[in-house]
Amino acid sequence: MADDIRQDFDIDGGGRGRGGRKKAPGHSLAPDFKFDYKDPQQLRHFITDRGKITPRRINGLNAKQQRGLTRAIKRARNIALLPYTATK
Amino acid sequence: MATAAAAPATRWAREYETIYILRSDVDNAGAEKVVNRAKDVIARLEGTLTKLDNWGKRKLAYPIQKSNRGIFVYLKYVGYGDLVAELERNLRLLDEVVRFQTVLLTEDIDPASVAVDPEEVQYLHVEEDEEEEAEDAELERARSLGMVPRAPRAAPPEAPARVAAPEEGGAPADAAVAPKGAAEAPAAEPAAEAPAAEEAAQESPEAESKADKREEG
Repeated sequence: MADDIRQDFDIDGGGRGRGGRKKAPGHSLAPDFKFDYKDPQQLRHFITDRGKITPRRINGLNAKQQRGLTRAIKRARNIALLPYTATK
Repeated sequence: MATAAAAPATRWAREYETIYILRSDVDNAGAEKVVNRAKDVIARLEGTLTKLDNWGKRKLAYPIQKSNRGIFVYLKYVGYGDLVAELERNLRLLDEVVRFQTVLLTEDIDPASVAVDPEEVQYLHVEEDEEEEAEDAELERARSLGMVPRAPRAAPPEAPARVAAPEEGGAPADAAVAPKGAAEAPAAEPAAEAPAAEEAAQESPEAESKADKREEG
């Protein structure tokens, strides 16, 4: 059971299991990447199906990027490029 | 003191960008009227428009004023703080504008250094995509009649897979080391699972009705 939980949140997939886990979207970004609220397609990688912002634990961003991400998503929501909530 | 004397020489400007959304039923003439008004305001308050972009009719992420579409227009300009206030006041007055947002891009710009590419500030009309529009209306009608199938719940197919995974790894090891444990496991598991299944069966209608309510709301 504990193993299950660890698997759920193991985002780097460092050789765990045979298939490993999908790489977190934040890992493919340059460390100095800046989020743009005008690019909803990019931001969509960092929200859940319900429209919530994913935590750093899941998306693998650093603190500065996460702040930028949050700001960008909130701006995008305000101008109707991203949903505040979504029903799945 | 020297700085105080030098300060009035250059009045530092700031660069802003504003996006506004027009109602989707606004025609080209109406859209142009709004752009011209914005241009007037920027010119009147000594600002410089550096980029003007018509994104065309786009789908909104959520309905605004009961409409699912809107025309997005993007403005980038250099000006002073009072310009933003005045521009937003004007946008607020126009009924065509349903939403706007201004973001500060850079501070302390020398207004004299701003170069404008005339091509960048042309307002271009974007052709409407009729097909998409029709499709949208169709979907809307279907939804109002309750014909759109709801998305299947993701949880049930996922749950058994997760339960099965540790057993796969565990079973061969158990069999090799302790055959007794492996023999006991199948007997113990159904007994443990049966009450849980009953509980789930009792709970599920309630849970489903809740989920349905949430979807409707």
